Amino acid sequence: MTSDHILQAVLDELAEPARSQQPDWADVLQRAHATARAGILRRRRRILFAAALAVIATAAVGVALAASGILQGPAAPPENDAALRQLMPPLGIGPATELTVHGGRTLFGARTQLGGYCFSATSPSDPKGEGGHCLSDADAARLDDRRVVAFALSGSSAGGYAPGAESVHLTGAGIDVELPVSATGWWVGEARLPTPPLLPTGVDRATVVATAQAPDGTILGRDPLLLVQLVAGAGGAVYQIAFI
Amino acid sequence: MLMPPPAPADFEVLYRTRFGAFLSSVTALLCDAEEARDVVQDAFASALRRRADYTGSGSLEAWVWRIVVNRALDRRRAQKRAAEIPESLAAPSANGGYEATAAVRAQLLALPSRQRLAVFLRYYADLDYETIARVLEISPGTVGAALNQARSALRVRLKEEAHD
Repeated sequence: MTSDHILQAVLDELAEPARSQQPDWADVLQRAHATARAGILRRRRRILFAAALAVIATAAVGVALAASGILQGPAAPPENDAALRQLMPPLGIGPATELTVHGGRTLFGARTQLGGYCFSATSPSDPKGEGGHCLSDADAARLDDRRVVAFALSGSSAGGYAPGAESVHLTGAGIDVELPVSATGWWVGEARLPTPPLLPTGVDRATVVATAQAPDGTILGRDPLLLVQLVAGAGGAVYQIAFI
Repeated sequence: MLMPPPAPADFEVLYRTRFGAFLSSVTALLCDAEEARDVVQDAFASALRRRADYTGSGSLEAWVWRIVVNRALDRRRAQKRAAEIPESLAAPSANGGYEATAAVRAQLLALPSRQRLAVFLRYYADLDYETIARVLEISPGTVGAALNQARSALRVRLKEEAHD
């Protein structure tokens, strides 16, 4: 008996209990639909909760809320407001709004004097949210059209807007996380690249993409937020990471 | 341009043709066929729901394997069985006391989960090194090292017995 034969015998023995099992595709479909139904119920509860909140908020702030447009939420704490205004002073960044909170991170957004958008997020390593991201004109236009927009922020944070979505799935370069979307459509969470980032075999670059998904599984849109490239450096190949 | 997600029928074909390989690999990892079946069923349900996330980078089978493997590793961590070898598997085999078989079994079960999975994916699923590396998120070199480790442990044991 050769060593390979013995290894094969051991492996056969380990898998022996599986031999009596038969495939059951109907069970797979049932499990898939059961979770989807649970998602719909969760969304219904969320909608009811959001509706109740909306009534309260409308009564409280009335016209002020309507005027705030897509950036809806309470005013940011002074230190976070100041940090976002200082992000790019020439843009004339206005007052910051708290958009959503998840996993110890808070997303803030503000309009600029020229009608653009800038965002910041707090994280354990950046409690004020001193790093941030101002949208390009093209992305700002997409946001105005209430389309899916995603962006990377300091502290390995990512955030964005995905109206109508239940969750956003971030994938690429070794990132594989699912984040919840708030009732207002905003989301934030950790998007930490592994060390080193994972690039597809034979490829020197990878994009991290956010995919917004409705409760019934429909894809509402995708938007890239990070580009990871392996480039030649003075001391050898290095990974270059760009916010996009 | 967005790639259309794979059709549910694609998953069904993969499931029906490769069910044995999926189930054998997870059973060998968890040492429990019922738990393994639950993992495989859940993983395919999850893959079906998330099919739009499949970007076309790598084969659909490799993408599904990754979901299955991650679920299996999660289940294994939850069970906290990492250091345990069920008695029925650790005991000497009943085929006339061929001790090498028990020794190899113990060596195999003592490998770290990902290395052990590399062996299982190679033998049960007949996946190539590149695909195994993609599924386990390790380098192809590590896949080869894991397989060599299992084989060399076996050879050492056989040599010891030859001297006895």
